Amino acid sequence: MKIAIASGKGGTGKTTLAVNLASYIAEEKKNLNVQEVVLVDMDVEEPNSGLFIKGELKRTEIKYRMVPEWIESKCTFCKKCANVCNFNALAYIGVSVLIFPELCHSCYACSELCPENALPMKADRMGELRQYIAENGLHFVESRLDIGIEQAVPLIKQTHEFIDSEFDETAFKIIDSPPGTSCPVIETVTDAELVVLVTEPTPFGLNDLKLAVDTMNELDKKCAVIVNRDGIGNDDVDNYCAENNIPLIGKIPHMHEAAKLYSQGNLLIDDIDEIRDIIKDIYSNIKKLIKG
Amino acid sequence: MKIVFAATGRNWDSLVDSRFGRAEGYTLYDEEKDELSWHSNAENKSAGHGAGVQAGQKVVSLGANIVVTGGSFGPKAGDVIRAAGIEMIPDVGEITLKEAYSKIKK
Repeated sequence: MKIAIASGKGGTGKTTLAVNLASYIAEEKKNLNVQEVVLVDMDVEEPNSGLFIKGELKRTEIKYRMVPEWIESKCTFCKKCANVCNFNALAYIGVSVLIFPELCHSCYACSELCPENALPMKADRMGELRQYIAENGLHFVESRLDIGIEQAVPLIKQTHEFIDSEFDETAFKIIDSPPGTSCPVIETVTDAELVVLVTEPTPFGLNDLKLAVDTMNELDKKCAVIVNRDGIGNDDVDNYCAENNIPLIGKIPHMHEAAKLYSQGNLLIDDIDEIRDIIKDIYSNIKKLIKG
Repeated sequence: MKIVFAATGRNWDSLVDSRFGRAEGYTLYDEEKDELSWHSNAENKSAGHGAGVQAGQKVVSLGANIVVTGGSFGPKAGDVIRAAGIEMIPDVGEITLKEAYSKIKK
């Protein structure tokens, strides 16, 4: 089972919800009849769930993507490679072929179509995946792109492959997504049974929530909404959810104490009973939506 | 000598474009033939990725010896043009092609 925690707007509380929900389920595993809980940080450009999870490092994997390498001695300058590339990752300039790995989408077209086999694909390091286990039994996986690598999607794809092979269907997988509505988010939610959208009750929050809901509708994804920092702003998010039949499955109040704990890298459920209860309700609402 | 200007139009009175990869187009001046020709960049102007790479290839395929832009060359366009051994003149400002030509001739 996979659920994704996403948002249109950044900074609404995806990570706060993901780490607290995952830790809550891990702590209550027996009572909730859950086998394993896995938290996955797919925000590979700036993963931060790890700031809240104190775990023991179990494994590190270097992740690679494939990019073409030009072999000058074999090239007959037929230009097929540069013509076929949809992403302008190759440039033919008469005397040589230049490759721009940062634009390459690893589609293999240039390499496969080169009649001289002058463009073999080679592995190019893009980042690292780390797997931890926390004291409460929570499994935590995070992937991190290397500095200067522009594309998040290949690393997100390989992280999905890792968790699918490492944990079976019975594991409850919670995925902390990148913000926004672009390719990395789409790749992240690809096989999520439910996408929980975290927003804040402000015009900014609502505007970006609508974009996220539109994206998820396009992908045929079931959505639910959580309002974080409830108490600021206005009721427009509530009204929007009601009008569009999107379940609003929880509200986390705007609290000075919550902000303080967050800034110290602590979990809210350990220190604020009110929030622990809210997370508990959110979990049971999620379970209902997944079953239904 | 063939000089390519990133340009907003096809005449001597047109302005040099301050963008390179996403310029309106490229105006080529062939000194031997004393001829101006226009090469639109419409298909590339709004490309999602790699506008600079395409623009660089275009300028190379036009047979340019010198390339001029009002602003700066992007890193990828710069890589392509440099690799082809073409002289790059950035930052001439938003002046007409005529003014830019006399400026580089000095």
